[in-house]
Amino acid sequence: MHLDVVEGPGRTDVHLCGSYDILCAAELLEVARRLAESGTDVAIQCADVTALDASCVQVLLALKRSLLGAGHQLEIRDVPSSVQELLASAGLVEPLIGDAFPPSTPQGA
Amino acid sequence: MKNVSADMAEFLVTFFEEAEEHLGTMETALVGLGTKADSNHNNELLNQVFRAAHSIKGASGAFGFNEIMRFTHAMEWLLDQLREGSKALTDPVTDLLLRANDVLKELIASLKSDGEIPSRYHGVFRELEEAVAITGAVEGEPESFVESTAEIANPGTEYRVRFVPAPQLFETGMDPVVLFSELAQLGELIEVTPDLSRLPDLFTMNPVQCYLEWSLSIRTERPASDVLDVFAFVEDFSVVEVTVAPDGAAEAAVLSEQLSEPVSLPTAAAHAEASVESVAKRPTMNVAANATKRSTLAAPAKETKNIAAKTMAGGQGSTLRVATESIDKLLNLVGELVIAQSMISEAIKDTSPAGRVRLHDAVAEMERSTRELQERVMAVRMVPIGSVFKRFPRVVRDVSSSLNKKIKLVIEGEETEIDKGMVEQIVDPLTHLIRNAIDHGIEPTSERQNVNKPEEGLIRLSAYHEGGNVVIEVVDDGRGLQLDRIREKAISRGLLSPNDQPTEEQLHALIFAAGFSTADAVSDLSGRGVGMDVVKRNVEDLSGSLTFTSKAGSGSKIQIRLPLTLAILDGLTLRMGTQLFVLPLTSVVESIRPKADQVRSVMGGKGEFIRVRGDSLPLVRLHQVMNIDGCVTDPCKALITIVEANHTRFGVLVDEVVGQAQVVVKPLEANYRRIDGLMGATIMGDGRVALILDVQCLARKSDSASIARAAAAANPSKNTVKRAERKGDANGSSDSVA
Repeated sequence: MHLDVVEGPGRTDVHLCGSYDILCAAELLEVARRLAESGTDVAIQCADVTALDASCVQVLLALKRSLLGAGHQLEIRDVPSSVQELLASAGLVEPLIGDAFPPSTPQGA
Repeated sequence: MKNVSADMAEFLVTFFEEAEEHLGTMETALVGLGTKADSNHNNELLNQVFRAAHSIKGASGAFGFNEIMRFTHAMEWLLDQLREGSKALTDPVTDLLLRANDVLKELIASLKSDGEIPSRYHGVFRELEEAVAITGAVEGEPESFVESTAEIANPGTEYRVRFVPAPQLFETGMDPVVLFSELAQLGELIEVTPDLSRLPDLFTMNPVQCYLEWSLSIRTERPASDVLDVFAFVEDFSVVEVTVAPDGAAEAAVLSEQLSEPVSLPTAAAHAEASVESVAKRPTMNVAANATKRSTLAAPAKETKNIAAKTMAGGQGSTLRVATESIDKLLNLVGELVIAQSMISEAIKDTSPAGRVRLHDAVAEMERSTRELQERVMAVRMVPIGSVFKRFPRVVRDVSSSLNKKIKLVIEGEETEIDKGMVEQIVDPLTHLIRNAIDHGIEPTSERQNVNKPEEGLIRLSAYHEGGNVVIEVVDDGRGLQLDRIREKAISRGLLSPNDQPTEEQLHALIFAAGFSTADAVSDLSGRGVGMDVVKRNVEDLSGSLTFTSKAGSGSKIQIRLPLTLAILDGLTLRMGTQLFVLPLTSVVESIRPKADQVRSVMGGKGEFIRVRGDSLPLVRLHQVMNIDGCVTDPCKALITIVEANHTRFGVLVDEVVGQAQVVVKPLEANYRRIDGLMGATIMGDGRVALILDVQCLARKSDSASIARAAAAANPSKNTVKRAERKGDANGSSDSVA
């Protein structure tokens, strides 16, 4: 895992690189918390991501909800097709990449 | 990234260890296939193999080890057909699965060494493909065991699945997303809806907890149990509910699998399965459809493979599973030690007589706790020898099959415990002994019939504890050794003179001489000696001994005697100059101070021997072997410790016998390098380092030829065979003297 964060006026650009799994979820969460507090829109460039597991996906989902709640946007760009395909099988592409955050589904539904 | 690698390394060690266990289970079950006519017996074994293959597949998928995942997936297909009865269980099929098991072993070994894919991987993969009769849809390379969702001819049944991972799922190393791609291989994923309602605020989130859950619909022609099987790896950490959709092929039923409860299919669900299976057809397979999925896993897999190789190269490859109860007991003992230490600290301040009594009591308590702690830690290192023995049904099956012999292997004493450190080292010697017993001990069927023996030869592999040792026996009911022919062979090779009258035991010992038995040796012996010197040396390297007994026409017995542990030994402490040495007490016979007329030199001073109660024993001057100055060189002013190794006695000249002590063996290799003649070092009570002598090596290391000549000259009838063994060592041994 490697990531670069570039803060600009009104938008913070993040470049993710490598494999993102449970072993780096804590580190990603720390970065996500800083991004949520940045008070800017966030764009995450994922072209160099080789893997993204559920533990990291849920961090990004929580970031997205936090940003949307604060009136900002999260844009996740250029997810490699291989990663996207895997996420799609778990129904996670739309919640992650779509414009809106899906409403909560009642448990047991 | 460094921490990531370290964490990954820990997971990998577990992965490799569990994979080896699963492979062992698979092999044992595969060898058992067809041994009984009972179809239930075979089905249970097939289930065992399937579960093991499935476990390996799941774990390797989590690490991105694609080759293993695809290969085990292919095996699953074949196993599935066998379980369903659509393919007959024949010997060739069993052989194929055993070969596949071997390839898996090689694949896992290659991961540890960062090596290449085994050369026969593709060949066996193709054989698996052919065995499940898939053709036409396969394109390009053979890694094609993936069902295409698009080509399912039969729409099958629609199942609704609710998957609620437990919060700690991630800690098991499982990624639930992977399960969906596996589910997709069963059929058509109609809808997958993640439930994000449990997702907490970013600032209260625990990154290692899973907050996601899913509801999904899948249409598949596979039974509901196959859908549940996808979740087999997470069954202890999830709630999985599988429901046949109301408008499905059968009435609704709920199949639930919850925290550690076994999978149970209610009757209605069983009916549903039956109806689905009755119309089911196998989906076809397509490489292209899955090409992108494979590349998904390739990148992380490469990184993981590097970590795997580094992990194993870094010596992290060996782990030991210990019951929590044992750890608790160790902790209690450490607690008692701490208390004893506190008592000593207090008592030492009190110089009154009462204080000395308290000090004495506290030290005694500490000694008791220390000894118990040592015993318990040693017990932790002990593992059942069954983990070694379970490999041999396969060896017997393969070798007997290739030689067209019928052989029954009886294994006894699998529960006998052996030091974990010895487990791997004893495998090769035992394998060699069993191969030899099959190849050269057990007669061909026709020969056995001629001598009224049962058609089926018998090999008995057993283990038991005896007198602080582990004893392992390999017994066969074959033809045994023909001593006359051994004698002739030894004479023809110059190992014996025609006038020598060796005992039966000495003739048996000849088979351990390097190169004594070769392919052109007498037929009933050939192979018995090939590599037997290596077997013997391997056993001796473990501080063990090996004896061979045989009766012509009735069979042979090889007995290996090993110490319970290599980590601690009772030793005799010796001094040479200012250096301390330790001799394993089990090898020490006695210590004497000889008179001048007991010491003789022969061959112009090239060899020395001493006479002890009528026997002539070679004399080893330890100060010469170890190159130590300032030692007593006159045997009559020093001491001679008589040592027995490998049924051979010799004297070791030392300055002083200091006393007995139980010492902890510290390997030299770990801190310095291996040194011939030394098996390790230890730290004495006064802080000095003592070197532990390797008695077996010492016997070889000294001028063995001159020792043997001296002994032979002094006592030809008792040392003739020893000379032969030494000659063998000098001619062909790879464990050469430095």
